[in-house]
Formats: sequence, structure tokens, C-alpha cells
Amino acid sequence: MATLTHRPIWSDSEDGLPARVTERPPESPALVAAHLAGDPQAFRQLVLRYQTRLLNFVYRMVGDRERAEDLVQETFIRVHRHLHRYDPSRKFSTWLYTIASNLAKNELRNRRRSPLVFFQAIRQRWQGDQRPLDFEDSSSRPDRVYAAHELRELVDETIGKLAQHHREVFVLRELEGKSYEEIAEIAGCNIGTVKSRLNRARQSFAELIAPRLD
Amino acid sequence: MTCKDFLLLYSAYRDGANPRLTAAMEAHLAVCTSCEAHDQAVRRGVDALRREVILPSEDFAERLDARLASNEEIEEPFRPHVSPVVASAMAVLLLALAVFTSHRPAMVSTAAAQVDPPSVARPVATAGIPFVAFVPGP
Repeated sequence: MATLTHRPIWSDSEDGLPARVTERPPESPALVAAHLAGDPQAFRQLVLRYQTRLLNFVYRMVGDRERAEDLVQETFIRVHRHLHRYDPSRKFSTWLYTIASNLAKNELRNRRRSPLVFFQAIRQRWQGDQRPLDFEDSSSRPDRVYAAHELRELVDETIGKLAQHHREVFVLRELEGKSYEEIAEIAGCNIGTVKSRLNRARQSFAELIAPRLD
Repeated sequence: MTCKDFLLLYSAYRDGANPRLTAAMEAHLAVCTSCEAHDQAVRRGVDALRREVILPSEDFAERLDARLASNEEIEEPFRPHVSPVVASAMAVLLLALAVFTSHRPAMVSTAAAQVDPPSVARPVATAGIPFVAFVPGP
């Protein structure tokens, strides 16, 4: 099961893990080339590099941790099978996010067609919410931990209320820090549409969350 | 700057691409509590969003390796795509269907007019029990 921690995102290294103070790791295109040349470790390094950020992106899209992990695995399986088709003139991460985004949209489409699947996802999430508070940092004051937990729950709920196409651009921009060009490629729309969706998404986010903040 | 302008330009301000816009927006923020609350709501929410990191489960890599090794079938995502030729053909078909169905009711009604109406029983008052009887209609 995916676990939750409160470490600032992507602050240390690309995989969200503490940065290694050794040499700089190879770039993604070099890893792709190494994989295609038969290096068995290259694909694993690509997975390690992107698994956490992809998981967070997909989780924000579908709102279900377990399903998000399945979809990230499926993304890597597709990448593994189709890596020979990858065009090195495109940014590797954009290609990866496009696949993950399509899978997430497909999941949401299936849920709309099958309310039972949607209900099960909601139920799983509800059960997850009943877990006891996890005080990872013993030096934190419980009231502050609780307030932070409440705020995270509120943010999760607010993101879930955004329209799917607004949520996608909002998460890609605010969480992943993608450029308008990258978002346009991932979402399959033009830059003008990205800007307009992002503006609407930020406005909706503020309108939904502001009345519930202290 | 009005609050309406602020909301309209907020996204561009948040992306920080234009220093002149940033200065104008911050001048408005300094005097408008409503827009300041809007800005704070986005900042606090996004800050909380960035702090919450979901980590993959410990056996993520092992499970992925197993799935890759098993060469499992994965369903291709449904991506609705209709070529312009197919779309035009469908439009012509729909139009033909619409024309056909619009003529169909007239044909049915003509045929129906040639059939005798069904006979309906007619109530007739009688002197004794049951006082009302039904006889075949005309």
C-alpha cells in the first residue's frame, strides 16, 4: 500500500528521496538509450526517477491511492513495451506524463460508466480516512499535526471537486511545475486552452477552499 | 485596478511571468482584503498540496518486475477518434435516416385508415338485473 509522508515534494531529488551527494545521475534520454542497448539497470533507474512524482500526479487525478499505484505500474509497463517508439526529440517526462494522464482519464471515464467501481473507490478512500493520525515527527505538537492533517484533507477534497480538465492542468502546474507547453502536450490541447483552464481552475480552487479556511 | 481585473489576471500573476503585472497586482493586494483572502487561499492550499507526498509501496519495484516478466495483457485505453471521412459518412447516414423516418408516419397512417375501426361494446339499459347490458357496437 502506498504510504503518506509530509516531506516537501521534489525538494531533494527527482525521485523525492534525499539527494545523493555523489555524481549526477544520467539524464533520462541516456537511460532510455542504455535500456535499448540492453542495460538491465537502466529501466529500473527510470522507474526510480519517476515513480513518486507520477504516483502523486495520478493520485491527484483519480483520488485513490491503490488505484493510482496500479495505474503508475501500468504506465511503466507501457513505457517498457513501447520505449523503442519513443522520439528522443521530445522530452521523456512529457511522454511519460502523457501516458499516465491518458490512463487516469480512462479510469475516470470507466468510473462514470460503472458507478459500482466509483462507489468502491470512494469506500476505499473513506476507510483510509478512518486510519489513526500518524505522528511521524514526535517533536510536532499534536494540535499542529491535527490542523495540518485537516488542511490536507480539505485540499484533497477541494481538488477532487475540480472538473477533470481543470484538475489536470492545476496539478501539472502547481504540483509538478510543468510549463504551459508541456501541459499542452500532456493534456492534448493548445496553450491558450491551458491558460484559460488554469485560470478557471485556480479561481474554482480559491472559491471552494477559502470559505473553509480559518 | 479593480477586483474584477485582479481575478482576470490572477493566473498570469501567480505564474510570475511579468514583473509590471506583479507590481500592479501586489499594489492591489495591499489595499483589498477580499483579493488578499483569495490569494492566501490559493497559496495555503497549494502549499499543503506540495507538502503531502505519497510514496510508492515498498514492494512497488518487485510487483512491477513481476508484471513485466509475466508479459500480462494490458487493455489499451479507449481513445475516441473519428476521422473526418467517417464523420461525414455518418452525417449523411443520419440525414438519410431522418428523411426516411419523416416519411414513414404518413405511410403508416394511410395504411391504418384502410382498416376498420375495432368494434366497442355499447351499454344498454335493461329493466331487470343486471340493469345494464353490453351489446356489440356498430
